[in-house]
Amino acid sequence: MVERAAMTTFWQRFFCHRLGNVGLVFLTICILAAVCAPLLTAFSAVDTNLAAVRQAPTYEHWLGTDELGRDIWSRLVYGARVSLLVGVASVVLSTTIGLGFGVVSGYLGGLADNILMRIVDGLLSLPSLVLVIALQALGNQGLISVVLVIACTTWMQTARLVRTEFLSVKQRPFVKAAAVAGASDWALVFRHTLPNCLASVVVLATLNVGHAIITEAALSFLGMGIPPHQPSWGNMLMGGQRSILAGAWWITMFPGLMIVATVLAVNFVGDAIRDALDPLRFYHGSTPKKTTKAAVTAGNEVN
Amino acid sequence: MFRHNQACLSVENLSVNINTQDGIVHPVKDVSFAIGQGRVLGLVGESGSGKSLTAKAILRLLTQNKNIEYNGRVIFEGQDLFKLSPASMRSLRGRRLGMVFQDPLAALNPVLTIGRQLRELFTAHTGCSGGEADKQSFAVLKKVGLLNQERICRQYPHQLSGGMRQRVCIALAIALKPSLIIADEPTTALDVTLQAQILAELKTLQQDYGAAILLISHDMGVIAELADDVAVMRHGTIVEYNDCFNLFDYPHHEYTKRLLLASSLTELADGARRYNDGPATA
Repeated sequence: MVERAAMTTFWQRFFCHRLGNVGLVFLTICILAAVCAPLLTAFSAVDTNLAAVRQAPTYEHWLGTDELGRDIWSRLVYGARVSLLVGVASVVLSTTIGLGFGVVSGYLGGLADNILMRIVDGLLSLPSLVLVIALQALGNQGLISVVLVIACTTWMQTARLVRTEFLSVKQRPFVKAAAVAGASDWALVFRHTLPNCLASVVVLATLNVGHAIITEAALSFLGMGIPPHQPSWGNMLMGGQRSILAGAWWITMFPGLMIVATVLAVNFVGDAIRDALDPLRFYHGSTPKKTTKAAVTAGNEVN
Repeated sequence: MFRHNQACLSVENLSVNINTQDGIVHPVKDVSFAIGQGRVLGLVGESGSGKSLTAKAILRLLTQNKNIEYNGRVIFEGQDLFKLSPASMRSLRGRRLGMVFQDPLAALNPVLTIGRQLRELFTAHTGCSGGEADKQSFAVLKKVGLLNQERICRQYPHQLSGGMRQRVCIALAIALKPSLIIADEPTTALDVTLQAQILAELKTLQQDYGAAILLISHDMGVIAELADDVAVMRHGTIVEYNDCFNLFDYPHHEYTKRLLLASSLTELADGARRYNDGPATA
């Protein structure tokens, strides 16, 4: 095992993570489907067809139709564009803002740190849904504004986490050792301190992807997100709520499954990235699993 | 007392004051010593006596804030380190001044391979290419007695044994042939056999490169092994400062006598234990 870990690069460690691979394959399929949506769908995602309302899955409509007769499969595939974009773009944006804010705050320390963190505290104390709705009511609604609004309301946690991690890593001896070796401030921050903070930031970011997809769904439900005719998984979930009572489970079931599966896949990929970023965790994380499995089998044999 | 003609480092009246809520504390009070070129000065004392703080103050490693105040002068190769700009201080660190830390695992960046960390040192100071830096890294790892350098360069710190890690740390400290190496308890985290090896290694390297060493330790044995001069610190002041032979043979200060007695007592105790554990056939 030492032998294996010794020679690994980031990508080799990444691909050693089985669930991470599963997640990556799933996300790749989702993204490909979203990009190639016109090739995969026979029906329009927005045109209503009142002759085929709330049809259960059939040969023609693979996943059935919704309360306005729109094909669920088509809406699911086109909805992937919106949901994945909102999830990924808003998290990339919020993590970037959070990283910048946290690093500046942790690096400067003192008064600047105090002021920056009180701003974060202030923003965190506002209920985020209220903030989202207020911001969304100000601007014109649409995909970009949803991304911006979600990013603007989630970066604070990342900032706080980055600052805390930064402060603790900054005190570790190897940063002092690098300073003694004559590393520049730039190298101390970006090569020694920040990479050692990233593991938990990556985990938070993957959790935020799920959060962003669900926030988009909530916004769409309240009529402040994506316009209702445009498909997104959140839109479909919320639009299909009343139909559940009519027995049309397929309208909400499939977008719900997609949200769950996507959030899970992103979390797996996040775990894989975290393990790959931290060679020590990779090494320790991959051995005990095997021993526990072996121990469990051994225990079973005894029983 | 021991002003050598060409002092590599001379510390004059160094004091460190820290403002706390309960008033000002003086962990280092009016400390003066000098290290000649290629000499080894041992700084001994119990924990809390201000040894490490002195070293950190020399390297200006203490967190800069209004609660910590330095006084005195630290003259290194003719320059007062306290008066240097951060940029010129940075160019001295690593190039002219090296440091070996107590805990080698903590002193190495866990997410970078050994090769990366060595290469960074070379490229930052000499501006050489990555390939050239790697070549020099192999050479310096060989110098500290590590075999299979290419493999070690691809490994992460946690994959090496304690002795190998400390050798890597020493390699990092001596890589650019500094004229002064500050070794803060370099063997405390190692077991006794390794300790002897590492000390021997340090000694050869020091003789090869002609570097001066400020050796900080609480262990009189380690000091006796390596040091030319010894300064004994207690409660933030130097209580005795003499050359190694004189200090061990004719200790003046009461505290030095007790330190020596303590270390000889442990040796006696070790001897006794060895005797007790010996074969019971006699």
